[in-house]
Amino acid sequence: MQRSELSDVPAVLPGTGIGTLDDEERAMAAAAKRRSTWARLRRQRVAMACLVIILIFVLAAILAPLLAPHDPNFQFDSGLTNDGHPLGSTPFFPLGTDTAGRDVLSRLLFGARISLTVGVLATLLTVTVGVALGAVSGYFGGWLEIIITRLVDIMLAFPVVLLGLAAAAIFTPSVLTTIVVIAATQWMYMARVVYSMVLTLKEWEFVSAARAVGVGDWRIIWRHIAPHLVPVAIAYSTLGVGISILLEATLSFLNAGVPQPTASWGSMIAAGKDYYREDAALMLYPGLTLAVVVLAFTIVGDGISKAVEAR
Amino acid sequence: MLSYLVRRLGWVLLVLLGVSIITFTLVSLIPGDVAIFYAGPHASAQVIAETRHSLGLDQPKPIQFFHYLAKTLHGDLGQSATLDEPVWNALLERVPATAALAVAVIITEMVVMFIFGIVSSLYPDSLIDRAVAGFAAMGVSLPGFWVGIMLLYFIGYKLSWLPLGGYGDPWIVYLILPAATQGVPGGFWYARILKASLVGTLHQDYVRTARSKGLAQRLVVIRHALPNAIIPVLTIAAMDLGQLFGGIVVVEAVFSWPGIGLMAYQALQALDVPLVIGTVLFTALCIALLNILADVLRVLVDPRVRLA
Repeated sequence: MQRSELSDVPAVLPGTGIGTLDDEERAMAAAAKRRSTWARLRRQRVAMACLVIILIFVLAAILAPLLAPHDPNFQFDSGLTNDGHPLGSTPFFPLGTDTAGRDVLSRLLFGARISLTVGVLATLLTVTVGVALGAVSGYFGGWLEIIITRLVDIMLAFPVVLLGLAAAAIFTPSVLTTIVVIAATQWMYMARVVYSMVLTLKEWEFVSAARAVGVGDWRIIWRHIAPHLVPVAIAYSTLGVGISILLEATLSFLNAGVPQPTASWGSMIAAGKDYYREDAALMLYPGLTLAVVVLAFTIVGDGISKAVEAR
Repeated sequence: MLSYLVRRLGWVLLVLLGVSIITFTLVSLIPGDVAIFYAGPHASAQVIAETRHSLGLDQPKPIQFFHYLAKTLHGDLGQSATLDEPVWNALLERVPATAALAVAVIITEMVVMFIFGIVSSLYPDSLIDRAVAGFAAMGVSLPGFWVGIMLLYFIGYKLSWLPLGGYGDPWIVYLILPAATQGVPGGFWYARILKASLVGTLHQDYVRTARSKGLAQRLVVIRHALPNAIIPVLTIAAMDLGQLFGGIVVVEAVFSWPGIGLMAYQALQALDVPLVIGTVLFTALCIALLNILADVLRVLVDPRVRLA
């Protein structure tokens, strides 16, 4: 579950003098910085191992139609015992079947597509909204600042899960509503970080210099301030994908997220939850998969934060 | 202090207004006839007509909103479509169970936090310190509902040590697993924050003074560093109240603990919109009020805040 660690992502201040370089030099300096951040990340063995794990899951999700032994939604007659119970591991069903006689391994692989897609898209939306509102409120100040910071505080008073339930009660649950609900309840953390960063950034000399030569506000935000927000946004995004996957699973578990019969890890756990006494494996596989992936995103995200911080 | 509290109360009203606007907007977005939706899936034509009238749906939107706001401020959250009673009453009946669970979770979190936070700050980079870090990372990465069901399976079902959810006599036995499901991972998380805060405090002058007068490291940490180190933890915990309640909703659903979270979950399955929306509004208000409580607590713990 999302906790406040994300609001503690440190504000990374720009190196001095960047604003005085011409475009080419600036690009080179930025590339050098990126390389050194990457080098620092590469030295963190655990984070790199987790990055590999993430890549394996992404690959598995992309190749799911090739890797999966069966159609994830097909209910096999042979997938249930004679008295209607799911099967354990067999050569035909490597991880057994679920209560509807569907192949668990195939559902895990196709579930990776839904879970990762929701995680990535929800995070993209979260970061876009968060950076935009945070930057605008920090840069312009005035009534925009008042409205946006108040909105952040109000939204923080909303329990994510309950807002998800409310949205599900009003709209038909779908992948899209799940993405929107997650973004609607997560953007505030990013907005806060960006807001405080922009408050500092806009006082720097390269911003006053740009303003002095008549560069417009929007161009200053886009060309001069936004680049400094990128590292933090990347660190946040990596953590955010894990959090979003977790939220998707939680909402799906409460029947407020990805609807059945679509396989997502959360909906698989939800489907297995009434059956845990007979066959805990139905919960164990998707739960462990989920935990490994979310943990991997968390550790890589922390690693990136550390690498960025060290600059 | 008093003017500070008044300001904070004004803030609660603002939150309530904001939350009302958001829930009102959500309801306005309902596709099709809101009255049919609001009256529930099995309502008769007469009930639908009554609902339309009581919601004031024949009036323009701004008037509808002020109508809605006035009713909300009077504690009128509408009629539940499935429970045959006002939403407000249904909420009040369920609040004690949720409050009991919340208190149990917070106590568990605090016990775990103090024990492991202090120990890992006394022995940094030791095996136990790394284990705490590992548990904290796992705690935020494992889905709470999954941990809950696994606990139900092993401790409740396989070992039969504790009941399989629900509520009964003695009630404390039914509270253990739900409280542990949320409290233990949360506790490890705060233990990390407490440790970081303690390590920072240990470099302060007054701690060095305490140490130079010959106090044992244990006493230095507990008596001198801890009171200051706890303040940032409190601030973060107050910010996490929304997460705490979100987690409680899930835990209640897993363990069939009869609080407002389980009610909201069941209301969603029954498409009881007024009950779901009412619960959201109510919880947001509670969180805003608890935030004030956390502020007051912070002032009591940290006299420096009073000057601000």
